[in-house]
Amino acid sequence: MASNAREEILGRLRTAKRQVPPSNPVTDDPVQPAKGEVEVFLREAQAVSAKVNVVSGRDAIAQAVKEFLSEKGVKSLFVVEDKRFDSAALKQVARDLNAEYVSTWELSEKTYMDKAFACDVGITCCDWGVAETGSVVIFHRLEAPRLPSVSPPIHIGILYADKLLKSMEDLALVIKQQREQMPSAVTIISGVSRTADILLTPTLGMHGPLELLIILVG
Amino acid sequence: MIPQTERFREMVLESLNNERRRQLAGQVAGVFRFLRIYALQSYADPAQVMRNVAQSRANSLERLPELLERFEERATAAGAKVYWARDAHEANQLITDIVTGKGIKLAVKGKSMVSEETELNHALEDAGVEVYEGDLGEFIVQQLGQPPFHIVGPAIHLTAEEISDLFVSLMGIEPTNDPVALGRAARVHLRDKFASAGVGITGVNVAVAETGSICLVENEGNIRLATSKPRIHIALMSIEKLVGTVDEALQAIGLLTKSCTGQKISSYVSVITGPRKDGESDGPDELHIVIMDNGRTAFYQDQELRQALRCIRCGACLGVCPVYTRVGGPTYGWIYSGPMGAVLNPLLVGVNRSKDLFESCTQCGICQEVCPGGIKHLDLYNRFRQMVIYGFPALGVKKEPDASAIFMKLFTWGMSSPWRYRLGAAVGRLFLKRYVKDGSIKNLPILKGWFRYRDLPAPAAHTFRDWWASQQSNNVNLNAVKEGSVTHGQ
Repeated sequence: MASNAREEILGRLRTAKRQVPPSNPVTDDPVQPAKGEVEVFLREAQAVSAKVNVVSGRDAIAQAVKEFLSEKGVKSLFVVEDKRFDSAALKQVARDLNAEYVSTWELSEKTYMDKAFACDVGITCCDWGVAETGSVVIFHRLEAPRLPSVSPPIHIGILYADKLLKSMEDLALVIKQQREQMPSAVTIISGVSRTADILLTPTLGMHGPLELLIILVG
Repeated sequence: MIPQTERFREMVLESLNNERRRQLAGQVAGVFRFLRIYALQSYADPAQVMRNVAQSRANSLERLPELLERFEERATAAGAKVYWARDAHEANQLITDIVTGKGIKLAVKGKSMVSEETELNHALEDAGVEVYEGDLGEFIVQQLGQPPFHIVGPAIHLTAEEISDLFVSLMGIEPTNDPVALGRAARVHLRDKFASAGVGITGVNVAVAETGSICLVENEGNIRLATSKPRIHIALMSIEKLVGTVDEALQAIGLLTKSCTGQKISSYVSVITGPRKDGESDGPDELHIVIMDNGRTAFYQDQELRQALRCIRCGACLGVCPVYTRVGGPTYGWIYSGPMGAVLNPLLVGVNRSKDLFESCTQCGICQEVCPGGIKHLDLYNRFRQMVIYGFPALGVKKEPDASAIFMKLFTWGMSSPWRYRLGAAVGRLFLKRYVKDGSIKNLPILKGWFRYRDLPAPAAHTFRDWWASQQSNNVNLNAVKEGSVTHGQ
């Protein structure tokens, strides 16, 4: 029955009178994505209630995490290990904060899921930023799981300034360059989770993070 | 939601009598309308983007079968399983079979209009599956058993007290009228559901043929949770959601969120291509995509009606419509409301039973100006009117006796001869004079609907012809007028 449905639906669409436009030529997009400006990114990210801390280099990331979390009394960090930050320094931050350091790599699937929903802070790298919208973008893959940036109440995203794109069009170019091997998910994050479903009252922090810190490096 | 578009007139009166709802409909629309205009200014050339997206929607529809096949091929290559459903029943059956086949008892759902079109929740519940809507507003109206009030704010008509009462009985919280506290309570309550659900069910905002991806747009994070944690993700989409390329998709999404909530972009956009890959720690093991027709291929056959499928469900037309902003969403009798509903409901539910929706249109045309899909609403409404008058068997539209057509025929006949005109005017005046009361006519045994909102002035004491005859001696000499040598009242 299911395959009949397919043939029926496609058949009816095919036999309809249509003005089929010439299909877009598939090119290898010689156009390079345009770089975004840091000032624009800062303004737009803050406009959607993200906090941004610009740091000088890789060595300053752990300190920025520590400063942001110092007063929050967090009990656990859910960390997606990545060469783009110094995990030894981050482990020291966890000790200083008296918080558990949970590395996503070292967990069985069951523990991973439990921790994902129990930890206070998710720390991830971000692959791209979009200045126009103040967004950070994660290409999910083996080294970049999905939950750490959505299930904990606080998300800290680390973004290198050279990965800042100008606009969504530029991001589309970047994604298109991977169209033969798309990641299982690409997430474009613009600020914290939000709702206005009760009395149109803007409420920051619904099912996703209540707070988002972007550490912009370099 | 069982369609009751035929109750439109009745429900308009109910809505207009409910002052709170009437004000809310206008307020909500006003807020979104303002935010939209503001957000569009972030484009260097908003009009150009609107033209691009409208063009992309139109082209995608003309290439629809090819795009659907390409999408199926690419999504399958990425590991997704693609199903086809002729109608709502088949779609629900496919989905409940997947869910019950895996022994799943708990589902979390992202807000999706197409799943309301199919009444998927009922089908799942009948099959013994507990379903939780993840979107806050949708969750609230689901728990109350009410239809959504607004496409973006389903529970926006409820007071904080009403929501507090619900949450007190549902979650045992302390009563509170603070929207933020109520939101937090729902977050806590639903967290367990996200963590333990066996399946996440979503709609699709845009599907991309070249990559086999589905794009999902949201603010709350419920869709991200529902597509990251459960082992199964089922996405239900109607056939028209396709575009060719990633850039078309992102451009449409940018315009969608600006037109919808006035956000430059929503908090989260997920571009999902297949299930999780080997070794990934989260994301579903299985991605099932159900592509549903449900009446769309029938009106796709007609090149003018086809444009209805350009709709991207942003709701910009709701915020500007002078009718919608007075009567609100539920009045339209089905999930699609405002100009969006006046276009889609006749085609999906039936033109005859939905005719009051498009006949209530004031023909102002603002919906067309804001529509990212470039839909010409007024052309469609006129087509629908024609269908009702002449019938349109291809879509099962029945010809209806049309009082105004009969009246116009009679009028034409009467006006085409001087003696018929004189006789008609004399008889008409005698007839009308019988019903004059306090200087006007409040009702007649015919045209009852017309008198519901208007009075007719009493016929003048003399007809124009009588007056003309009595003024004969003072009248202007017509030849003199032509020569330009006469002054009035000569």
